[in-house]
Amino acid sequence: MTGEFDDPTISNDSVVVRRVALSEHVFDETIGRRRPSSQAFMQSGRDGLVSVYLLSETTYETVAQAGSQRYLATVTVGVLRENGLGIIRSADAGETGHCDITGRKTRGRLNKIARSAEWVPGYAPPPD
Amino acid sequence: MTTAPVPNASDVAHSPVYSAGQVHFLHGLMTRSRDIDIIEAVPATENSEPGDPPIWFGPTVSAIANLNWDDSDWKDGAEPPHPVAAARLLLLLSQILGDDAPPPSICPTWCGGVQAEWHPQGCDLEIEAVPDGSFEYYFACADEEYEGPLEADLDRLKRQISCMIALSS
Repeated sequence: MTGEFDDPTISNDSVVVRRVALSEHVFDETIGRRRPSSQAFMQSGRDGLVSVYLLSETTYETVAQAGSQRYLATVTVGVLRENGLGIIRSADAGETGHCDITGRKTRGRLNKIARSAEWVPGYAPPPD
Repeated sequence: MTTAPVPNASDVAHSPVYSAGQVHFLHGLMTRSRDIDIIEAVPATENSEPGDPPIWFGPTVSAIANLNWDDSDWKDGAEPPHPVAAARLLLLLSQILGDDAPPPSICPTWCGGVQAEWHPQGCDLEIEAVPDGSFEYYFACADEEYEGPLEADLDRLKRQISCMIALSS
C-alpha cells in the first residue's frame, strides 16, 4: 500500500493507540489472554474510518480524555501493513497525532491485528 | 439432509423451543424494556430438565443485558446495540448450539448489531446479528476460512461449531 492509502513517512515500528469500548474485549485461548475484539478495529460509523493516534505525538492520557470511558490498546504500524492495511494522517479531527487506518477491514485481518494488540497499563480490562 | 432456516424476528414470540420466561425476556429486549430479573430464573428449553438450561444460555443473556444499551455515544459515530439484533442472535444461538456449548463473548458492533464470538485454540468464530435482519459470520480454523453472510442452510455452521467445541474441551 502506498500513496493516498498509506503514508510511507510513518515507519513500521511506529506505535498507534486505539480506543476500545468497554464491551469490546474477548478471551483468546490461542494467546491465553484477553484481547480487543476484532470489532475494536472495525469502523465506527458509515464513513468507514478507524481512528488511531501516533503514540510518538501524543500521550495515553490525551487519547483517553478525548473520548468517554474507554480502554486503550496499542499496535505497531508494521502489524497493520502485514495484514494488508495502511495508515494516513487525518488533520480533520484537530487532534494531535490523529490518523486513520485504511484498506479493506476483513474480519480475518482484524482478528490478526487484535491478537497482536497490547493493552495500555491503567487502561486495560480487569483480569479474569 | 434437513436444513434449519435462519430465524426471523417474528419467530421469537412463536418459537416452540422457548418457554414463557424466555419469550418474556426476548420480548423485553425487542421492546427495549430491560428485564434483568429474568436472568435469575433462566428457563429451560423443552429438551432440557427444568432448572437445567443450556450451559451457554445464562452467561450469554447476562452478557447481552450488561451491554451499554443506553449510551448512544458508546463509540464515536457508532450506533448503540439494537434489541432486535440481540433477540435474533439469541434465537439463532438456540438453534445452532448444543446444551454443552461454551458461552460466547458478546460484543456490540458499530452498526447497532450484536456479535457472539469464540476464540478457542487456533480458531476464530464470530456471528453477528445485524439490525437489518441479516447475519454475518466468520470462521477460521486450520486451513478453513469463511467470511460472509450466513446462509439459510445452517449445517456448515453447525459443523464448524462442533469443531470449535472439540477444540475448547
